[in-house]
Amino acid sequence: MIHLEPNEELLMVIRRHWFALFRHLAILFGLLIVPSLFFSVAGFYGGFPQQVQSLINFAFSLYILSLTVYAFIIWTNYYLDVWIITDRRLIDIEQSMLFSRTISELPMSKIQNVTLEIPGFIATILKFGNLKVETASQSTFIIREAPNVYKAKDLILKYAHAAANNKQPTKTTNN
Amino acid sequence: MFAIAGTIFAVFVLVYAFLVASVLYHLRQYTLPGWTATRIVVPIFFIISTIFLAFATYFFFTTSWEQF
Repeated sequence: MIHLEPNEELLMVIRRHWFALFRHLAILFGLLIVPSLFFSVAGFYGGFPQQVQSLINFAFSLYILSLTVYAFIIWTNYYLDVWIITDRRLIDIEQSMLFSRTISELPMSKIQNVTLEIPGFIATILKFGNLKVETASQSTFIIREAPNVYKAKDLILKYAHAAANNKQPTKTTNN
Repeated sequence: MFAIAGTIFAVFVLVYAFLVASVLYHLRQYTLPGWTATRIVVPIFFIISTIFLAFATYFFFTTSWEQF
């Protein structure tokens, strides 16, 4: 679990853009549709013998259950993959698969460079991109397929500069 | 053949239950306060799982396994 330090402020929580999840679920949906179409066409041409039809229905039910639990796992990996920006650090929580989780922290004072990348047509239309955060020791944090990348970049740079100058950044409020 | 099919079905259900329990553990353990999507996704998943487990059980018992 993530614990904030005293007076540490949570600024932004970034989860991958919905398109990253949609891409995986679309493949599963295709895997569901193709056999369904096959059985529909087979039914149109007379179907299977009764004793075989029940077996096919049983197998197909298990197939759908397999796809369902796989979709649930994919969604959970997507949901638990987050990047947290606070006023003091950048936290990368990566859920690779079940029972495989990595948590990395990067203090704002160590950040040297932030690079923004919008790769391709779909990323441009849907407004998501990759944010690469580098330190002086050349270690790199990459926030992949993130929405609101410009806002995230501005936040990181603002607090990184402030940390480097050992000052609190000024907060602007809109009245 | 019924015994073999029943064993395969039972193993499938056990593995399925293990995977579901694992996912629920992860969600319970690692969801931060204020994250509410699980309140929608988990019930939907359980509804779909229940429906198709019921179908699978029904078709398992209506299949004439001795013919195979």
